[in-house]
Amino acid sequence: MTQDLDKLLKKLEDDLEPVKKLQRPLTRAVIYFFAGLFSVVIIGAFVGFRMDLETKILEHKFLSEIIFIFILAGSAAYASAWLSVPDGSQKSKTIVFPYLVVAVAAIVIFREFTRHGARLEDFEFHHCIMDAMIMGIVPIFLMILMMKQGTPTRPVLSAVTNMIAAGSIGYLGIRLSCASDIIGHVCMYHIFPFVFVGLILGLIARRIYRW
Amino acid sequence: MLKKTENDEWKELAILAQNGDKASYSKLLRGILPFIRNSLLPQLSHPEWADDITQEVLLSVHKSLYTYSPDRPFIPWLNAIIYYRKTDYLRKHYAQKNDLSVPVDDQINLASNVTSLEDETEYKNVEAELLKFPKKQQKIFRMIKIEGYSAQEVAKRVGMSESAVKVSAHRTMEKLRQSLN
Repeated sequence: MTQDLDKLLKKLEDDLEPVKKLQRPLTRAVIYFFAGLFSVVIIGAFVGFRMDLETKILEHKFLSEIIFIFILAGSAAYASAWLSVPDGSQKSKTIVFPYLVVAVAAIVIFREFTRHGARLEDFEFHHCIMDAMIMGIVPIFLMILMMKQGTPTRPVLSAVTNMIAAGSIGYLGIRLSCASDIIGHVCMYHIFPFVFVGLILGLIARRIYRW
Repeated sequence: MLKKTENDEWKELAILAQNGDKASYSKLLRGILPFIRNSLLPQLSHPEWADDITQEVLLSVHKSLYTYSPDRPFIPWLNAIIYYRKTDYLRKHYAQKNDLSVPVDDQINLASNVTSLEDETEYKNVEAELLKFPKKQQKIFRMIKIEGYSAQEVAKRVGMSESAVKVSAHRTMEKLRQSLN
């Protein structure tokens, strides 16, 4: 053993204090997920919920979409909580699950495009983009906070998974506040802002999650 | 009775260390040290990096001890930290292009590139001798003998015939040989 290593070992031994163990991933995921949902409901109340929400929520298709996104957000938050501990990435099924849900969502969106057409309008800085950002900011912040509580060893994967979780929570909020169900509008103004932020977060992930 | 594996032993020590038991922590750190080095060594092209990364891993183990859960095995937790720190170290190393620059006095480099170690300082004399030649002759010699250009390419570059370039390089080589001997 070199002298440097010996010195380091002694220093680490001297510095040892009893530690407060990190809560279980499930507990943390539940706390942050519901805190995110709560923030979306509060912000939704300020932004204003869609006028047809009462009738819309009874529609089988809309309700299925909300449940589907709820599952996506919950599973991504759970996967994120696992990714915040060093050996969390070995929980491969837990981590793969939200990505499978995203793949199914992509297929559903593609089917909607082929069935009904995109009906895309020219891109504009629609208020939905701003609403999506407002809805998403607290869940993103909460997810980053949850990750920073731990010591993630897969920063890029963590950032993308965080964004799926936070983006899905934000998407839930925006779907409950915007009355447009046109698939082109939904993709461009309700999903794309989160994908964009996710890409940025992925690029700076190593800096954010350095420990 | 079943023999305790390293994993079980380290797990128990880690739990005690989490409660502030310094003796157990010392035992744990000294136990995992050879494990960390041995898992790093086969993955590194330069064995001397292993010490640097081992230090990083030990610091990371210290920082993230609170994330270890006794519900899970210890070795995968440690391996994840080793992998993360190794990747981080190598990423930084290659980002700084440290792999492209080698100090000329590096013993490992010399050992693998110089056929006769007694003559390891000879290249410095070659450089010094080469500077005594006219600039054009130096340029032709460097391009052909050091940088690996063909005589045809050098001829085009310096505006001479191919045979004249070959003769120049050959004469420079002969003169260098004479002056260095």
